[in-house]
Amino acid sequence: MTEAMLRGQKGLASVKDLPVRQDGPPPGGFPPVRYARRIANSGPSGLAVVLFSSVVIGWGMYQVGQGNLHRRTLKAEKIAARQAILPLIQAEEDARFVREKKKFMEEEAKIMANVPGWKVGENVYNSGRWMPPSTGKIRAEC
Amino acid sequence: MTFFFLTLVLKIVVLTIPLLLGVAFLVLAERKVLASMQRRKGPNVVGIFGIFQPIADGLKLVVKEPVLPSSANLVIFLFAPVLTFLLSQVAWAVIPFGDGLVLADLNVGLLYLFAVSSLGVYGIITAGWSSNSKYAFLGSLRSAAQMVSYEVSIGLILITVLLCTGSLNLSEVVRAQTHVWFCVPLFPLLVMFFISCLAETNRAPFDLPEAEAELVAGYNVEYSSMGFALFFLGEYANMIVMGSLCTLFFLGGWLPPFDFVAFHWIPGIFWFGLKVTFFLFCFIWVRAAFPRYRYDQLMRLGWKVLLPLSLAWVVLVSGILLSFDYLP
Repeated sequence: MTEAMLRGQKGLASVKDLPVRQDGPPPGGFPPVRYARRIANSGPSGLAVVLFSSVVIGWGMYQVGQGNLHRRTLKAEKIAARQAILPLIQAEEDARFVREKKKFMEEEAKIMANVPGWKVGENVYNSGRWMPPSTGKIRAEC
Repeated sequence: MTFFFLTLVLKIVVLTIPLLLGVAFLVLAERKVLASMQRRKGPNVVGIFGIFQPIADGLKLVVKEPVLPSSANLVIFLFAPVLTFLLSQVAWAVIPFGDGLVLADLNVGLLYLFAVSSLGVYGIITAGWSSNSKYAFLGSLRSAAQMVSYEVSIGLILITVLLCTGSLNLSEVVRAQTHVWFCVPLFPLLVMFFISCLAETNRAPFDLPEAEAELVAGYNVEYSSMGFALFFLGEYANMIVMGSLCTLFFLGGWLPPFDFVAFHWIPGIFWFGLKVTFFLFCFIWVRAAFPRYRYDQLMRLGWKVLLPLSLAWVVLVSGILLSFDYLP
């Protein structure tokens, strides 16, 4: 079936419609050939899409903000709790440090017993400043 | 110490083996999905529904003789597929499958992922260069240029996500989505991120560096047997990594879709897997639906569309967060 028959457009539906039997375009020319895709222009308008997506994105950002506020309060609470128990943790750590230091010195004395003139616990640095122990169990994070 | 080391090795094995199996069956899934979309049956001879097809393919690649080109720089030639494969596996260390279900819960997980994905380019560059073949070399240049271009927009998109979470830790990124998944406020970014992921993994419609019908296969022309298999595994593992990144940053990782009690009975890893599978399906769907881009169109999309857009979103989101005092 040709387009002319389908749509009743002007033009030739059959060769028999020709007034004279000869090759050539029908009277009035051939019907236009449809070559372009038919794109539906239905659906929501651009403005509607923009408005709708703005509302959705806005609501989402609001929710993100509420979540962030919530997480901020949780973080503040955690920091406050840590601040409250900080003296306790520090006291525990100090006690542990003293215990480990004592053990360390005893071990040093045992190892270096045969070295004459060795002073147990003497600072290996020349400056008089206190330096944190660099290795071993005496360190806080080990 | 020994116990720690042994448990770590065990964890890595438990993570890697299912991942490799997943890669194998992703190949099968891709062929099956493509076949369904083209009204074919797909692989259905090896095992029921072709379930053993990936194993047969893998076996074939393993027992084949590796062909080493006489003019190739052999050390680098053999090292390149290993590098690609290793980097695709290494990225999994920081990806949380559930709450606390992560190998290394790094505070800088996002930076780590950036570093690993940037290094991925080197596997491709070295493969193309060391093959000493003009086709492989040109292919590797095309792939590398594409990956580098789209990494920029990926970076900017992740900065926007970062602004909303205030943490580089991936578990923290997921926890920040408890109120709302970021795909709601940042939906355009999800689309852009997905497009960038397609380009980053050299997948259709951006697979022009290795277009089967138009060019020889790209940077891996000279590879056969196990070298080729490693590249192949690496590429598909990268696909899964990208799918999980989309899930973690925009679809709430292991969080259930609604806050129903019944949904919380289901373990988080199931939700995570479901979302990753959705993205992987989209990867394949895109391949079935869209024609290939031209190289200039690809570069235009990366530098003149996605880059300015993602930059604009960084400004917009930071402006909103700052003006309403919503910063984390």
